[in-house]
Amino acid sequence: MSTATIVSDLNRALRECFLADGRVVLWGEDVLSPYGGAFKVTAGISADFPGRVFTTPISEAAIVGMGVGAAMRGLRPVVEIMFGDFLLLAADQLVNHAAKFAGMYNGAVKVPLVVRTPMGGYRGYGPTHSQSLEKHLLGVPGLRVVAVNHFTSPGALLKTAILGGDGPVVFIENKALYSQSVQLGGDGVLEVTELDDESGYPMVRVVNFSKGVKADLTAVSYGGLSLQWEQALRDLAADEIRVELFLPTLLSDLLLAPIAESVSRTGRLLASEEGTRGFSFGSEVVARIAETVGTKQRAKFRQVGAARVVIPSDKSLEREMLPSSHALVTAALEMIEL
Amino acid sequence: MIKGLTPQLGVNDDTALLVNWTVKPGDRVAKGDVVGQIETTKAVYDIEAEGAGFFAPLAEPGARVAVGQVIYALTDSADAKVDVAAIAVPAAGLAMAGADAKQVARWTKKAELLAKEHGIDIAQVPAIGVVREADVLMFVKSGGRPAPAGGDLVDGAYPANRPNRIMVIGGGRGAVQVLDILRRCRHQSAVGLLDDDRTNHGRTIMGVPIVGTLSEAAIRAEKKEFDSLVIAFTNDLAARRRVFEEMKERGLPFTNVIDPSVQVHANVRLGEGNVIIANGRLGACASVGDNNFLSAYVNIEHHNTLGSHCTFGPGVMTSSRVDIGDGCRFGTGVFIEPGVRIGAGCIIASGAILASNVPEKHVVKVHCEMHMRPIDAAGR
Repeated sequence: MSTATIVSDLNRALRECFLADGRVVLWGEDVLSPYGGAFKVTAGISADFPGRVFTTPISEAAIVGMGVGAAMRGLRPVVEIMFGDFLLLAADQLVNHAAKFAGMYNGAVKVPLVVRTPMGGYRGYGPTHSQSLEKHLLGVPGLRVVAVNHFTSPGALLKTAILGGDGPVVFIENKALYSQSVQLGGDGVLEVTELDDESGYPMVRVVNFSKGVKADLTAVSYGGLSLQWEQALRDLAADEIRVELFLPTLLSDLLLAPIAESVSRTGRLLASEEGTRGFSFGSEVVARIAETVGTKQRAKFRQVGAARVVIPSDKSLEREMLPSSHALVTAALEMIEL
Repeated sequence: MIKGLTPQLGVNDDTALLVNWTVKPGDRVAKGDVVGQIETTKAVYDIEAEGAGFFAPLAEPGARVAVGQVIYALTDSADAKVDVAAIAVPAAGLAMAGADAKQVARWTKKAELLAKEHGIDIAQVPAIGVVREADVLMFVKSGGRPAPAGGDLVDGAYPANRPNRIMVIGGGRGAVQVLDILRRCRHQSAVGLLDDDRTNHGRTIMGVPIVGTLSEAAIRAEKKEFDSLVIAFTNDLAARRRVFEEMKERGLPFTNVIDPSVQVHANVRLGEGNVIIANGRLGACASVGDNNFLSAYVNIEHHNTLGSHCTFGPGVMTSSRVDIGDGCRFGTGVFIEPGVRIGAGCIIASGAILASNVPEKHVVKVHCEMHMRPIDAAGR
C-alpha cells in the first residue's frame, strides 16, 4: 500500500515533468506560491521553477487559448481550470482549436496541451462547483480525456499526458479524491491489477474475490466513483457477491476487449458514473459491449449515475442525488437476483 | 442538557483544530458566551455557547475534531455527570451516506440465492455463524439432510471402552500443543482438526488430518465422527469465545484437555473446553470456568476463582483467593498477590506483578527497559 495522497502524487509528477523537460510550463488561476492553486496541486512549483509558472486572470477561454498557441509553438503547456464546471467556457478552444489543428493542417502542427481540472461533488460546493461534465467532451475527435481514480498512480497518468503525447489531453481530477491515499495492489479483500494497452493510460481491474472463483458481475466505472466502489466491493464481498470492476483511465478510447470478455463470463454489466445518467460514459459502455457480446449471448445491463437534476448545495440532499456505495450495492444485488 | 457541536465554518473543512477552552469545567455560561476557540484552514473562530448551562468539555485543546462532533455539553447543574457514550456522535457516522448500519445477516446473499435455486429452506442449513455458499453446497451434496452415521467397526460397537474422540478447532501452533497432550493421554484421542483456512485442508498435523471448516462441526457431530470439541487457537480471544458459544448453542459438547503432568488438587471445580499445558497446577478448592487456555507452568492457587475464555502465557503464578473475570489475556511470567480481583476483559502484560485489584477492561503494562550492548574487547 502506498501512503501518497492523490494530491501529493500529482504534485510530485508535475515537479518531475518540470525537471525532465524544459519545455513544460504551467498557468492557471491562483497557481503561484504560496497559494498553489485552490486544491494545492501546484504547491511550491512556481517557487522551485521560476519563470515557468504564471497566474492568470479569470478567463478560461484565455487560459486554454494561450495553451493551444504555446503548444503549437513547441512548448508543453499544462493549464489548470480551477473547477471543471468552468471548462465549458473554454469548449471552443478545446473542440474547434486544440482538437482540430493537427487534422486541419494535415499534421503540420501539433498541440501537446494538457488541461487539468477537478470535477466531482460529495463536498457540498453547490450547483456550479460540483458537477462531472466530462461527458460533454467525450467523443470529440482528436481530444483525449483521461480520468484518475485512487487505485492507480494519478502522477504516472499525468506524466504520460505531459511528456508522452502529441495531442491535447483533458485531464480530469476529482475533488473528493485529492486527500485520499493511492491504493495499489489491494489488500485481503480487494485485488488490484493494471491492464496496459501501451497507451500509457492503464485500465484498472479491481476484484473482491480470490483466484479460481467465478465472478458474478462485471462493473465499469471511472474517476472519483472509485471511492464509492471501494466501499461497495467490500460490502458485496461480505455477501459473497463477486464483482470484477474495470476502471478505465483513458475514457475517450476505451479498452473494450477485457470488459467484453468478462461480460461473456458473468452475463451481467453494471456501468456507473458520478455524472448525470444518460447520453454518457455509461450509456456508451453499455452500447459498445452490447454490440460486441450481444449477438453471442444474452446479457443483463444496468446503469447507475447521478439524478438528472441541479446539484443541491445542502450535503444531505446532494448525497441523495449523487450515486452512493449503497446505490451501487443495491443495483448489483438486484442484477444478481433477476 | 445541551450538546455543543463542532461548527461547519467552511465548505473545505471536514475537521478543525480545537485551540482552547476559555471557560473552566463547571462554569455557568449564557447562550452566546464565548467558551473556546477553534481553528479552520482559514482562521481562528470563537465557539459560542449554544444555550445556557454549566460547561463540561468533551474534547482536549490541541485535538483535531470532526465537524458535527460533540465537543462540549451544557448541563443543568455544576456537578451533573455527562454520559459521553450516550451523546457522542462518532465522527465516522458523519461521513458518507450509504454506509448506514447493515443489519446483522444470518446468511450471505449468495447463500440465500443458491438455497433458493436448489429449493432449500436456508434456515435448515447447518453452519457456524453466518451461512455461506460453501455451507449450502455441502448441504446440497448431502442430499439436503444429515449424512447417515458411519463409525468405527469395533469402537462403534463398544463406545464405553473407547477413548474420547476429540475434534480440535484451529490448525496452528496451539493445535500442536493440544495434539502433543493428546498423544500422551490414553483416555482421549484426536480424530481431526477444523480450520477455516482452506489451503491446509487435506494436510495433517502430527498425523491428524485437517478435515474441514468450523462450519462443518455440526454435520460431523451428527455423523458421529467425534465425541467432543476443544479450541486450540489463542490469538483472538473474542473469536475463541464466539466459537465456543456458537458451538454450545448448537448442542455440541466440549471437553478439557489436560497434560498428564498437571497437578489437580482436592475439590477443584473445572468447567469444559479448558486446555492446560504441561506442569500446570490447580490448587485445592480452585474453581475454573470454561474455554480457558493455560500455557505451561501456570499455577492457579487454592481458593482461586477463574472465569471463562481466558488465555495465559507460560509461568503465570497466582496466590491464594485470586478472582479473575471472563475473557482476560495474560502474558508470560505474571505474579498475582493474594485476594486480588481482576475484572473481565483485562490484558495483563508479561512480567507484571499485581498487588491491587484491576477493574474490568483494563490493560496493565510494565515499564522495564532492556539495556543491551556488544561485549567489549576485554570480554566484559
